Amino acid sequence: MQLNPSEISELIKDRIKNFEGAAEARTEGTVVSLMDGIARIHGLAEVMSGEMIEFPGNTYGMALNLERDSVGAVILGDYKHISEGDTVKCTGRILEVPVGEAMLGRVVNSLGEPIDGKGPIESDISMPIERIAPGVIERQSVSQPMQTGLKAIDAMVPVGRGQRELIIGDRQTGKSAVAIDAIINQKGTGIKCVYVGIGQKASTIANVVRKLEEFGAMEHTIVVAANASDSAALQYIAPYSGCTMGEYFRDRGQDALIIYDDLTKQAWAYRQVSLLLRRPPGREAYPGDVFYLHSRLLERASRINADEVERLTNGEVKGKTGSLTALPIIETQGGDVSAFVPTNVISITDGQIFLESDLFNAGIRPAINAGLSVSRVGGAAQTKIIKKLGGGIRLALAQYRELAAFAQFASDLDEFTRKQLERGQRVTELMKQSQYSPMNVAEMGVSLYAANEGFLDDVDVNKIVAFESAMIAHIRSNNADLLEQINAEGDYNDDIAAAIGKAIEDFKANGVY
Amino acid sequence: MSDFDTVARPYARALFELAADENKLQQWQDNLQQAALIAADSDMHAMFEQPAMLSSELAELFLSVTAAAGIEADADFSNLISLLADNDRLAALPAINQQFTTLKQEAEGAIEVMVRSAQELTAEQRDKIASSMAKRLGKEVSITTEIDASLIAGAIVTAGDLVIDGSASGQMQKLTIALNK
Repeated sequence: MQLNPSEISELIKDRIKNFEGAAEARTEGTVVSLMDGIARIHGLAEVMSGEMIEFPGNTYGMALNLERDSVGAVILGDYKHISEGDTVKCTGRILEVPVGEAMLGRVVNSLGEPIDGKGPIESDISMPIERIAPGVIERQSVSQPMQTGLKAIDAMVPVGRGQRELIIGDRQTGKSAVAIDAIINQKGTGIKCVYVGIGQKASTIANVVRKLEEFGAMEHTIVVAANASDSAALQYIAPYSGCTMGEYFRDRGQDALIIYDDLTKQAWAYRQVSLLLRRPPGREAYPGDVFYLHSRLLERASRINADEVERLTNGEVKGKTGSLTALPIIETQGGDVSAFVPTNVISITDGQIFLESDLFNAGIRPAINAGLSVSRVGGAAQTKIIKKLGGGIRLALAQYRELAAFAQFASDLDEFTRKQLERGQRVTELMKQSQYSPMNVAEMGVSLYAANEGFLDDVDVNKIVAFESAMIAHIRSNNADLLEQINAEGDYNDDIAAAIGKAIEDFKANGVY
Repeated sequence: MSDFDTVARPYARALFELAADENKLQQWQDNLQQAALIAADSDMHAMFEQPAMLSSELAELFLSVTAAAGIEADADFSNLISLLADNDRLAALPAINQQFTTLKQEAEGAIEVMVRSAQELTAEQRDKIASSMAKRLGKEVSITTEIDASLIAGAIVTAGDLVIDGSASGQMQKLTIALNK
């Protein structure tokens, strides 16, 4: 940032003017011991659980354990300058992060401080990181789609605005890729995105940010990064910080999407903090409240009704519902979904997208297991056309999987079974989609229509992918108005069906693939 | 420091109840204070860790030192020392003394207020601080003062964990943070 001297003195003058210099009364304590980012503090008689406390050198901490003689606190950030005997002060506040439109396009740490070198964030609003989720009265059921732009997801496991849909799978199965594609697809829809990276390599975050910038998705995205080198305390609070930033938009009648990548690592960080605070370990050495850790976080992703938005904005925004959609990510070990944290999060969320390494290695990407992936509420939020056309896909795939297992043994198959197998193979091929190429509703509709109406049956299986992209390109150039109409209305009727059918026939007659 | 807090708690409470029953709070307080000072002494500390010493010998030694320091050891006091020596807890005496003092102050509704100021307080200022602190805390206040030139101006009032910082140096520190933001 370039400043000339007169601006600097102006800035200092301004700061001094705004400085409140009254005598302050605070409860103080002294650091008794300090290790691994955990401070044990004597005194602090009036400290509250979860309160922000101030260490020397403008360092802050959070009081987590209130014991008889001492307070156990985590230090947020560097603690090398703190030593035994230092004074600690209560602040009477819960940890807060800056929120608002100014955060969009920025990369921040768990405390909302910019780490992208683009200068300070001009945001004068801040909100506490721990907030209570909306209650029953304030909520509205999920009824609008949140398009991820991936055929397989939007057709089989649709996600609605305000839903919590878990993305679960082993390492290297494309979990983050699904999430990044979902963010890219929100470009131009008005949905604000928050990407929370927890315990990841800084290089991975840099890659994500670069990709988002490349696809023009950074303008509507906030990236919250608690890297692997950051302290466990920062990794533990990162999702809450990100959630608060997303809630800002929800509470103003807008739609937001938040990705927690990933909550397994957050649970590890919390386990570390808990064990260092000497809380008793439970199953897999996680503390007793690891369920609450995730449930209170995911419960904050919700859709709130127009009345609540009006109340929260003091009547500024009227007649608009707000939503925060969450896509938490959980990494399993060896496909074991019955481990502690995966089962917890599965039970909290409104469905899961299950990614398998076998499918991934077989080249089916996104590697979605159609049988185990479900969406408990998204069906109500699907666009009409996708709902109509996508219904057959799930069934075709389910039947195909069942038959495929049998067909390996039988050489002679009757005509009907053979047909089903071939249809299944083609649908499986059709569900493939390369990374960073989200599709809109109309394009998806055309692809699904082609599969349902048997247009793919005479196409060679290994040419399906090429056929599809050529078909979409053809229709895009020849029937752009049809696609536009579908995208605008999302409706499906006989006229539209006939128009799509005609367009595909036209392509099959004249197109090359 | 806080290591002996848990160990000291039952001793302090028992002593406090005993002393309160016999109406000897002040006497016990004085004795404990002396004993705590002796126990905190590094030479005495070395004695606690002597494996060759029997606990009875240790108690005798400790009592002889307290007698030399002018403590009138009644039967209760020597019993306490013997018990602590038996349990290998003589090192907890400073913590016991501290907790005993807190219990006593709580019972008497008194609190010690420490005022650190840049210049010596006038009697009027002292009274003013004492009365306003008494009003705020709802307790009887006894003031101790200390002069600390590094505060530049103003004063810092400490009562238990509560700290009221009205010093110039405290404000400068706050200003430093505000400007560095």
